[in-house]
Amino acid sequence: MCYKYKGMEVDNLIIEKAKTGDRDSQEIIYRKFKDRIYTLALYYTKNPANSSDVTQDIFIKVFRVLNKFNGGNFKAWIYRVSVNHLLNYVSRKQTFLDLKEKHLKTNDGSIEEKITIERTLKKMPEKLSFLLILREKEGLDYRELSNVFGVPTGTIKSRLYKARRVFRKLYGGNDE
Amino acid sequence: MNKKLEILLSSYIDGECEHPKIVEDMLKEDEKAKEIYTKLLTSKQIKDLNYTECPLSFDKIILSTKKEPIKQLLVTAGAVAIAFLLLFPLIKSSHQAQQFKSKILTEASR
Repeated sequence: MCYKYKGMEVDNLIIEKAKTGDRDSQEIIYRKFKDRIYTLALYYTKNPANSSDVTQDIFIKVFRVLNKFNGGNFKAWIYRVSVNHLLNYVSRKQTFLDLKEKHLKTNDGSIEEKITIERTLKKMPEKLSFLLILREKEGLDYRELSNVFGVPTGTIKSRLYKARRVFRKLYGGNDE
Repeated sequence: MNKKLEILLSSYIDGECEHPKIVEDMLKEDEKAKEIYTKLLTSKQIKDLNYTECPLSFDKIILSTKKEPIKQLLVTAGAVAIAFLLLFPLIKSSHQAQQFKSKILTEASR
């Protein structure tokens, strides 16, 4: 696998060049986001093959509609395209993944803990788990999340609270 | 504890609380608030999950991007062909009806 673009940041110049069809710039965007989007897709598709297909479709769409991106927060924009595509996929397929444990990787902590977190996320309503993942894992702030989901920041605030309560309840808390 | 205060705790976790000082004081004094805060923190574990490496190569994406217009063209051509095949009997019968009508009119004019 080629890592010549690894670590390169997606800036405005890269985006503008990618809009004109510049392959190198598109590849930088692809390498920056592919694992993130693939991992997000893994939660909602049935298997890694489906996730690959969904990720491929998302990037085809991203490069097709890139001209519509008129500046602003690119990370929020690409997640908006991805989340909309994934939500459509979920509503079409009505399937939840049965994530194979072999696909799980860990940073630290026990693997059982990671599996429990993954399973908890799977059990949650998609919109809430997407929100929680984008907040906790991707570090998107309220404004960016508002951009992704197309709702006011106040709604994001209350949804995040709800998502945390649901996560806690499904994770094993009995406080609800 | 009411929902508003719990939302406040949640936004404090996100670093987006408009009144962090109020929350900090509350967490020092109120055991119940502290308990809820700790429970809401459970979701922080999501950060520890790793990304799974995407097996797709960039070339495959580009290849698919190139194929996309051809695919769309084929789909459109296919749709037109199917529409024609479906409408053909109707067009044919309409044509026959027209011929029959002309024939009758010709005979009538004689």
